[in-house]
Amino acid sequence: MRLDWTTLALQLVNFAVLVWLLQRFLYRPVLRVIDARRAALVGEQAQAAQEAESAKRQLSDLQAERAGLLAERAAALAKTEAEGRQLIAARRAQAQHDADSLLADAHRTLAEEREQAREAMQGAALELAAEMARRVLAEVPESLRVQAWLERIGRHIESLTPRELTELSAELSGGGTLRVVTASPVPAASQDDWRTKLRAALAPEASVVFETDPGLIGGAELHFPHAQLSFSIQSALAALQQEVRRREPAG
Amino acid sequence: MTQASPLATAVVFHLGPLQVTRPVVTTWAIMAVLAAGSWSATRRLRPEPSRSQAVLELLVTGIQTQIEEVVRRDARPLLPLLGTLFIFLLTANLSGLLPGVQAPTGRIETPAALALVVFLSVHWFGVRTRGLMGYLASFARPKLIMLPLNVLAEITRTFSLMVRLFGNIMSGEFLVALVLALSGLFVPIPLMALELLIGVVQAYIFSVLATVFIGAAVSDDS
Repeated sequence: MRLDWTTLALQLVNFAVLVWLLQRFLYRPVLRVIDARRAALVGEQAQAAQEAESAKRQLSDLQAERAGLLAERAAALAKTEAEGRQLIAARRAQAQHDADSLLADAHRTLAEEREQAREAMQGAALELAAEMARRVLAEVPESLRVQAWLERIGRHIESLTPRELTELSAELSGGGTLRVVTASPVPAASQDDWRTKLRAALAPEASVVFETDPGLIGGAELHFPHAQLSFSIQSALAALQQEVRRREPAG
Repeated sequence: MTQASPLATAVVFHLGPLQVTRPVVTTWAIMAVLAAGSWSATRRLRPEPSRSQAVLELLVTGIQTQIEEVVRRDARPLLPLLGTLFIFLLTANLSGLLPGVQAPTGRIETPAALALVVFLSVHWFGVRTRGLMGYLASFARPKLIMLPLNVLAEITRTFSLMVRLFGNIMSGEFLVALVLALSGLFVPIPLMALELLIGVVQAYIFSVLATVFIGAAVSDDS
């Protein structure tokens, strides 16, 4: 056996060529596609990790936003509740004020109506009393209607204190006029008689004139220049009305 | 009458002054088949692999993984040499089972050429990885006295690579041919199955030993 160096050299070359051929047509394409797949996987993993990170970040943002919304909602609810309470209190106060006003108005109206009713009743009572007095006096003879009142005036003048009498006389001194007002006309004889009596009691130089006023219902009144002595039913009813008013409780 | 030696290499034709022998022609055929098959298999590679593409990727990544497990570093630079060595040896060893075909590795020149390739590659990768002086200094380890033995070992292990491959493949072919000549057509079939196993094992052993040698040359531990 001997070694064929030519064959050995050719086989060396053949092997070198085969290495190149397989590197060109086998290893390089296969490794390239494997590397590409691996790079794609790494890229997909990186993208997936990035997307996961993005999703985590979005989740965090959403949670923060949700927390903010919840806080905002709680604040809005609290504010609305406070406003509601304030509004209720204001409405309640307004209602209370309105009710108080209505009640005060009602009380006032009631008092006014009561006062009006009372005044109306008083007026009616006075009217009734005046009518009753008028009817009673209508039964009295006309000559006696004035005479009794004039006699009463005479007794009143006699009961005056000297000071009061002096003051009244002073008003008639110097020609002052004393007007004697009666509800019905005084007969002429009685006029002279009473003129004499009044001059004697008050002032001799006084001028005494007689006048008639049916509104007095009954009785007579002495009108001095600056004073008046009333003995009429009208004045009695007026005094009675004032006394009733004084007796009523205030309000 | 002189009988030609069965170990003699038959010349098929002359290419100028060069004698083109039968193992060379067979190697060319094997190269053509492997190149064409690789081109055909890899021209339509897709990101989503088909079944055949998956097998192809499994073959390449399997060889790469085997290399990485031995050299303990990136196998990409070694893949073309060692992968081609394994694929060629496997194809060449098994080509002898085809009728009328003699395995190129059954002649001494082809194992010698491959062993020479391994021998040169060991020193090339060793020098490239560790530098010339660093690589030469590795022969004096662990003691300077080991230098002659280490140099001798470099030669003898390359020689053993060559002889082991040549002896196994050549003897198998002889045995099958002898039994076929003496007995009958179907009797050598078990021996051919054995030859199949031997061819695969020898391709693996040659490739693994070449990987170990290169791995030792590029490793800092040696």
